[in-house]
Amino acid sequence: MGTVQAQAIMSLDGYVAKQDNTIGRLFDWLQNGEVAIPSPAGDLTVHLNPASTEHWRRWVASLGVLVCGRTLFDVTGGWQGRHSLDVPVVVVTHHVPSDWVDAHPDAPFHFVTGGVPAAIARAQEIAGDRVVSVTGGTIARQCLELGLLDEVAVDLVPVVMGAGNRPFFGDLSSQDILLGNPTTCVQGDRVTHLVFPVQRRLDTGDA
Amino acid sequence: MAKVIMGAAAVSLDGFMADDHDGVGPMFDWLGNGDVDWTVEGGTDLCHTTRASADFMRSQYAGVAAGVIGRRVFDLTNGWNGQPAAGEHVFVITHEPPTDWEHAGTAPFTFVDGVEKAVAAAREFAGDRIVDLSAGQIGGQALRLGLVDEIVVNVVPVVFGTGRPFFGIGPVDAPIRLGNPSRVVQGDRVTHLVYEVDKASATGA
Repeated sequence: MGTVQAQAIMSLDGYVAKQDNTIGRLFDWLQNGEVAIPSPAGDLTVHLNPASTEHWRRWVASLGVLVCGRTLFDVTGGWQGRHSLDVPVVVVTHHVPSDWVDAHPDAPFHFVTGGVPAAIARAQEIAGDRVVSVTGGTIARQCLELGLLDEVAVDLVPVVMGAGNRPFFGDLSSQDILLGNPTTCVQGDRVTHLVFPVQRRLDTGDA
Repeated sequence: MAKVIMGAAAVSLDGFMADDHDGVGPMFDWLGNGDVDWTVEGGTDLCHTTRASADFMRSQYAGVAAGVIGRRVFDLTNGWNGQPAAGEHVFVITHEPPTDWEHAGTAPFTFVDGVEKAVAAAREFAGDRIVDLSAGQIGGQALRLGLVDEIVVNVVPVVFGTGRPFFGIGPVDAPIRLGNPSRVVQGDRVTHLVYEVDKASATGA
């Protein structure tokens, strides 16, 4: 079964977006390098530093499915039915947006209303051996708290955004959660790529 | 000219130096899980870390002359019983100096009633050496005033959810830009990162 990761581009003080859901300076590193890479869907081209290029290519090749919440889906308009990374998307939501579904009948989007564990299970089915990547925010926090994550991937950006923005995880209802030493630590330009394995808590057993 | 370095012993991946009760839990693991013994210049606490962390901390804080802390840390540690944790002199920011501290008058501690004044006094004392500035409320204010030259982040692989924020609470007027990390060193249960601060972005100059 594929790895389940939470992934986000994060400011040094832990935020993945501004309060209004715009991304400020967090995406600068995606356009400040010399290596031009078209997105898998062909809708945009990133320009990356060579070190980030290698990391990016490996990550994109490993991806099977993205999981996000309703907020990100709404903010992006569901990426017009095709995510730039060209993988299926599982959206965790209370209500299926039927108008959107009718307007995008072939979109590989799966709306799960049965809660986060059901969404991850669905995502794993779709992804097979490939990576399930959960975007940072409230869904990632719930996954972390429920012991559903194998790893946390952070693209750490050297900027301080100040309080009042949207955090990667936010408040935890349980005690603090231990991660392992990073398995990846790659320096790009205005980004440091870090990947941490999640240490399994004794009470969750194997996924 | 003195260099002002903002830092803390450890910070969680989500940006907290301690939990809401000042507990540190697994945050200090890295200070005791290695086989190299060392102390910070001027300090007395013996740390046991990996070679990588020892070399990092000793070189990063070589020449530390003065520390700047807030009243919370002073009270929590009783001013380390009059012995600076690092360097030769400690400047404690407080509006009401303690009246019953047993080391007052004999210990190299000065009580100052504001962040700017304390940092200025520490810099004057340090000359061209280093000022070690506490992160959190104190460091956060200093950062927003454009008084911090470098930030040392000892990232511990743990998610706390809430607690005492490394950058202090409160918004910033505009994002504070840092340089790419000038150093990235992997220890055991800590990843050390050093960032220079773009002070113009901090003050909106």
